[in-house]
Amino acid sequence: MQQPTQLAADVLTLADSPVVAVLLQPLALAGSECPACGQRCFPRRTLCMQCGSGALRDVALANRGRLYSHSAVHVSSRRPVPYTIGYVDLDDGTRVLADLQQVGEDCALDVPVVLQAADDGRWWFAPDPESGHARIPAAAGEVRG
Amino acid sequence: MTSEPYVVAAAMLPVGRYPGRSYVDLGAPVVGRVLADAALAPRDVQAVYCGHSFGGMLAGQRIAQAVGLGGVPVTNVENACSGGATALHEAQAAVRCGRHDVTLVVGVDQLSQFGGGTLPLNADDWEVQRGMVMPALYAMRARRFLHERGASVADLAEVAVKARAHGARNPYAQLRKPVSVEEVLASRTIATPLTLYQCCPSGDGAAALLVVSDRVRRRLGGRAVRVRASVLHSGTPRAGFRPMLRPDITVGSAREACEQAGIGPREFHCIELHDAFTVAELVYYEALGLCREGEAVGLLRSGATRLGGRTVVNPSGGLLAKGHPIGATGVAQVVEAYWQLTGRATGRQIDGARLALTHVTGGGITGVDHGACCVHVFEGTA
Repeated sequence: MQQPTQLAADVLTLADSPVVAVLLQPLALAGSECPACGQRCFPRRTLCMQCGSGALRDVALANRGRLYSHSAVHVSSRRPVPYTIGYVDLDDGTRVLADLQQVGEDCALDVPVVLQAADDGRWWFAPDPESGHARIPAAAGEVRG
Repeated sequence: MTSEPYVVAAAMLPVGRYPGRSYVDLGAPVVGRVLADAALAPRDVQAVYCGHSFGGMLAGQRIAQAVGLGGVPVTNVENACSGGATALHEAQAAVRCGRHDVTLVVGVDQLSQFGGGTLPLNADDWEVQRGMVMPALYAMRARRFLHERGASVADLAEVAVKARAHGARNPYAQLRKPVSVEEVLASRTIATPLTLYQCCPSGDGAAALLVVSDRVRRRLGGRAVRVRASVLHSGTPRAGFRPMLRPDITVGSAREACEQAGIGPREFHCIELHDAFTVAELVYYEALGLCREGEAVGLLRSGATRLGGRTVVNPSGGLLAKGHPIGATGVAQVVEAYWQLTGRATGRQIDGARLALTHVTGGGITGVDHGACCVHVFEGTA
């Protein structure tokens, strides 16, 4: 079990970062990394959600990952429908709930995906065309479509 | 004086849509019913615990007042879908430690106030801002289940078929029409791969329990159900990978409850579990330890969890058929367990039911499987 480090002295004066995703160049999401336990998280935070330590530092998160699961949402109290979201496990171990594009009903799980963005700041993940392994390990299923 | 807690009376409204009624209109009749059943007066109640999420300030006091009950501590509990079960968790603890001899538990909520659609989640949450709604969360779990377990959408649909078949025998269920696998899969899409009949309906409800000490139980006579275990967990936050098919909040709560009671998961005659969406029942078969990992579909197909089977799961119809009025749900599950263990589950009685487990989770927030999970174990007293 990771021992929580002492909270930074000024931690109570800090508000969490406003909850907006920050896109960096080269294209990446801005997240936080905990100096105590090493866990990265998204979006950026002031305190580590896993060990409570303070003084997290901003980092550029991995812009590639694997699609853990996805759903096309047809009924929602949150957004106009339909929209497709999914959990992406980034290559640096961070999990991100993201909008997805080019992910249809037949899209297999665990496929490589990559971060993409538009000029207006919208961002999403899509199947990774540059991935040399469009086919993924047999145990994880078959890529179709 | 410390005491084992007992449930000596239980009542609920048939789950449904009661758009014209207030929280008092919903809650007061079931409170009146349990007091009458136990032959207790309002002044006999020493504490009230009320679970609800959308009833506004002091819902518990408003309901208590309506039946002439006041002066005593009234605690309102918000814990999403676990609110009602958490109210029981607190009530039984107060009896167990000797603080009170007679406590009243009420669970109540009215979702018809929102019209319809998905449960309103807290907009402070990052994932909710991104478009997370409860059906989407379970839909992602469902797709992962199909992928890892090699299951089909028809396997998911079988859960709804079983729930509706049980619900058809329960006059307190919101949905009482049996459905076929084909009808489940042909119902409209909510969040792929889940269709409408794989999602619990939105409804209104209220349920109540009287939880008393052994001393009072003996004085009252009548049939009682002993609370053998009561466990409440919150989710452990993770910023990285989390296996959606092995929700640690349920695994941990259930294991602890079984240890407290000294009863193995496969010894229960009746289980009411949190089947808010079809996939949940299959995931929870494994998480509760009813079968090994990868065996959930086989367990469902075997018929062991249907009425007439070895461990009947959701004889009430569960959330999928009985309905899911958030704060009332955890209490309504215990009402079903009480009826089963006292031989009063007319039309769906499990022969010889002596041991029951209830399991309810709660909420969708970033970083955890669920925000809350409450598990209870009950034993009938002959």
